[in-house]
Amino acid sequence: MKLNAGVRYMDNGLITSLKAMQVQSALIDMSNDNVTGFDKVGYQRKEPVVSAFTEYLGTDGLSTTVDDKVGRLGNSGNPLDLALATKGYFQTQSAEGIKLTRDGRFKLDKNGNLLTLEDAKVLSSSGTPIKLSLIPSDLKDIVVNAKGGLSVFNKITNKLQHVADLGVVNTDGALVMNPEVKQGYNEYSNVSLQNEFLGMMPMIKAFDANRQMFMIESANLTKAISQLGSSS
Amino acid sequence: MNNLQGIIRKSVNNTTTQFDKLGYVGNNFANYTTNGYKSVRFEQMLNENGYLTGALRTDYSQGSIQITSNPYDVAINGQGFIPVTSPTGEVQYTRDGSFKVGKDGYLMTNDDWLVGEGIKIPNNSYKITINPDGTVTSLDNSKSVERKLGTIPLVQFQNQEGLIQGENNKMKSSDASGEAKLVKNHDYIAQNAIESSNTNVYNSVAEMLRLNASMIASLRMAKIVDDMYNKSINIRQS
Repeated sequence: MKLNAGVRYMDNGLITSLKAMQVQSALIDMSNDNVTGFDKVGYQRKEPVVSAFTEYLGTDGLSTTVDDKVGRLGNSGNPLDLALATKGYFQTQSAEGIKLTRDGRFKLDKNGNLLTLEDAKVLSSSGTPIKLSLIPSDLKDIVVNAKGGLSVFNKITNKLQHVADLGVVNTDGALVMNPEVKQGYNEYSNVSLQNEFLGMMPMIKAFDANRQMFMIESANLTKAISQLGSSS
Repeated sequence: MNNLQGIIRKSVNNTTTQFDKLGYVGNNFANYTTNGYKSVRFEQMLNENGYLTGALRTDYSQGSIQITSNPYDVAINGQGFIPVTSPTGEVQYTRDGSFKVGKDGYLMTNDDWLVGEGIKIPNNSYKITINPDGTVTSLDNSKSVERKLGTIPLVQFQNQEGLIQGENNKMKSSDASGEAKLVKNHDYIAQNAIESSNTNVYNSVAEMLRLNASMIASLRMAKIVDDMYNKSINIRQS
């Protein structure tokens, strides 16, 4: 900033402080998403990435990565609740296209289609929607093994009838050979609340510090203007 | 949304859905002693944009069976429902088999719905037997032959998760559930028995602790962000 009297004031000092405050509140926003996701099935922690020159770029210098550690597995007792005890994603197909999810809470409709809770079709390892030709009257007759093979117990032949293999892929789109599917389990995120809140302390302090800087600069600027501007 | 207002809205959204969920968990607890009650799970889904939606799911797993001394108590040990007809003629489906002999001698539910197509119990009957396939027989006295009175029907649905909650511990069929189909040659019916609810107290408590933690955390977030908000607005004051 160049004052009329020709005094150079600290370059962009006020703006730098404001940008830093914006960055800190964006970081808080990501932590808040993690706090919200804490008890949501299949949620994966978002980790902020602060790149170099973020002090000039502001929030444009921020990006996120996903923490792909396996979360807490909890027993649910429902045979169509599946959890992945390894890294990987289920593939689902809806009108919006193919999506990846770790949320393995599935259900059957009356035609035997395997669906997610939001009615998207679950895809097999060959990329086609999974459809059960034999709809069991009891969900307990559905067996999913650790490799993701889904079979139904046929009461007439007294045998397990193989339906399809669940298509579990990694982020590159390649099939995971041993997905370690756990039947009757849900994965409750990999967020730990205490770490989220502890991690927020420095963000809040940085926010406060930058606010303080802004106010000091602002006061100095006011002083400079009033003193230099007075006629006496 | 990447601003303070957005954080507050997400926190409020999470807190209120958790509160909703608390209501459903409470409902499962309240029905812990309701015969044949199937617990309802409130599933939350977090969208990519950070907002929550919910879905209700009924857990149709078998409840434990308790022995009673009432011969009209019937439990279903397996999948399926008993169709019952209201005084106005509407058909709904129940797993609560605590029946009684109602007026005119017909087998009825506790709230006077007719079981099946109507099974008339003679009032001088010596002994009533309900067989595992649902047939009801009567002995007039200790020496007579068994007389068949009727059958308690058992129906199954292609997709029982699609059933909707009806009146008083009953379910109604819907488009999603498919048509009721009668099951023959089964052995699911047990006399002198009642199915208790399948509410799992331990799971419910764990679920409640989890949602409580999430609710408190979101409220705490709202407080933190509120402080930041205040400071941003009052940035001119030292």
